[in-house]
Amino acid sequence: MPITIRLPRDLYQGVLADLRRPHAHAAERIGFIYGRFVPGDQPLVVMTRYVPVPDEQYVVDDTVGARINGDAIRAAMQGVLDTREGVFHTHLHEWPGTPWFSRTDDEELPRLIPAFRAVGPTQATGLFLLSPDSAIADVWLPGAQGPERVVRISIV
Amino acid sequence: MSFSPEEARELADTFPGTERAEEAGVTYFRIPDVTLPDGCSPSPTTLLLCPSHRGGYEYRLFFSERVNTPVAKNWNGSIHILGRTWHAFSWQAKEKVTLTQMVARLLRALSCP
Amino acid sequence: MSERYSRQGFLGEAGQRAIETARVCINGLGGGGSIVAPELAHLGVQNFVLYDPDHGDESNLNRTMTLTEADVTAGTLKIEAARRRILEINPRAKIEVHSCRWQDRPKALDGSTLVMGCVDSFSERQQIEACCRRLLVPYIDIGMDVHAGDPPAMSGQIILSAPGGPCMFCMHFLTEAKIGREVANYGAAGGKPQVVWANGVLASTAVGIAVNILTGWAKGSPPIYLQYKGNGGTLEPHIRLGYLAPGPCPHYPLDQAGEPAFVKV
Repeated sequence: MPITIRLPRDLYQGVLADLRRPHAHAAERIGFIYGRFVPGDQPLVVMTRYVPVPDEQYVVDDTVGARINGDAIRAAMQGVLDTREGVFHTHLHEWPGTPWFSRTDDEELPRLIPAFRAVGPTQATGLFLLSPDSAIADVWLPGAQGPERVVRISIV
Repeated sequence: MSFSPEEARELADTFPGTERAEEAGVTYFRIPDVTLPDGCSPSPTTLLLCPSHRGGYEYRLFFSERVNTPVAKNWNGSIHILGRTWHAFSWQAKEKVTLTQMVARLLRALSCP
Repeated sequence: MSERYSRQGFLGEAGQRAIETARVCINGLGGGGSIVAPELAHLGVQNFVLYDPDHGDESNLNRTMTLTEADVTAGTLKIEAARRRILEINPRAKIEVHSCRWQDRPKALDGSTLVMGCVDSFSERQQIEACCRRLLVPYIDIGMDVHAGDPPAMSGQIILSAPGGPCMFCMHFLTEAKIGREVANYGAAGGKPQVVWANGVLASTAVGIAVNILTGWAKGSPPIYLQYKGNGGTLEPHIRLGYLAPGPCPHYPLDQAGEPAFVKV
């Protein structure tokens, strides 16, 4: 089923602005976009808000672009519980064009998903990767075994 | 019409499972598994109470399906609210009453000419 | 860019792709919708969802561009006339038609990139706008009226209700009083005055806004509330825009988007 993500323009620009802020030791920033799942033949996720990971929740690790600690993960899980929205781990690769998940992203990011799904089983959960002018996302729909690549990301 | 938290609690006590949600600045109450008056079907059914002045009605009760009633009703409200379409018949009531009384009056109106 | 769209090359390859991959829902295929639909087809929109429960009748022939006299005799549905015209322009278009109110089959609206509202009821506008806000779909509304007088006063509007932006309540185009009066007058209203040239201005302007949204070609935000003054033939930003309350739309906050969140009382 082709999945669409809709992201309000102001929210999108806020996310980009936050992810571009420099960090004391991390090369990249991470945040969490929350969204609501609309089931149907054309499943939809409407993104509603963004929560940046606070500076102090990054781990010093120069083998990766950025690594966040358990507090950041717990806060994201709490966000799901508090709002009953699904959560998307979000970061930015600063080269233009369609981005792609790095090998580290592919190895490590999916490990976050079961915890988020456990607290939000009726919501869509996933990974959102931006570039300056494009984006991709992998979504785990409720009940699905694995992720699907989103067909369309609309800035509205 | 505005309502108090006490009225909302009374509604939930009278109709277990009552939930609330907002759309366009209006609060609605969804009430599941309500048994309708004799002669009305399908029953039980789910109701949506709009306790505010909306669409020309001081308050209005919507049904998850059009109800068959012993007396003909003017089902003039097939309206999309909170992500689905609900159905209402035309019944004007202007007295200030509690949320629970709104539901009771409009349910009674199903059987009234 | 193909020869077919070479004259709109200024929209860019990406813009043209956006048009061709968009799924546009048109609610109402009467006077306004019968102009919107073919224009979008000419531009390259491939995917349509059309809603209208009505058959064409004699009184539609003064303005419904997709209907013919033969259609009225045959009782052709307005959506079928629109589908026919779209396919004449582009036989490869995929058109989903619903001969009913959109409320009777709302799920078909879910995958829309844009919704164009061409109906003449305030209540209908309120409902579809609320649905579009929930789905974060931009909604473009058009309508016209002619008020009695000497001379009669012709007016109309094009409104863009975009996620996060002011809604039709914010712009005071929709009010509870208007919706209430409409409900009270139901059945007594009769057909509202409608003419093809005013519909043409409104529909074409709405299509231009739609293209701007899809392609971003004009590099600025599209207008959100244009007032048409038919007597003088002008289109200008509505004066109410100067009185909009600051801040995001309070009627449709983003945290109410998506499936409604019911909370136990």
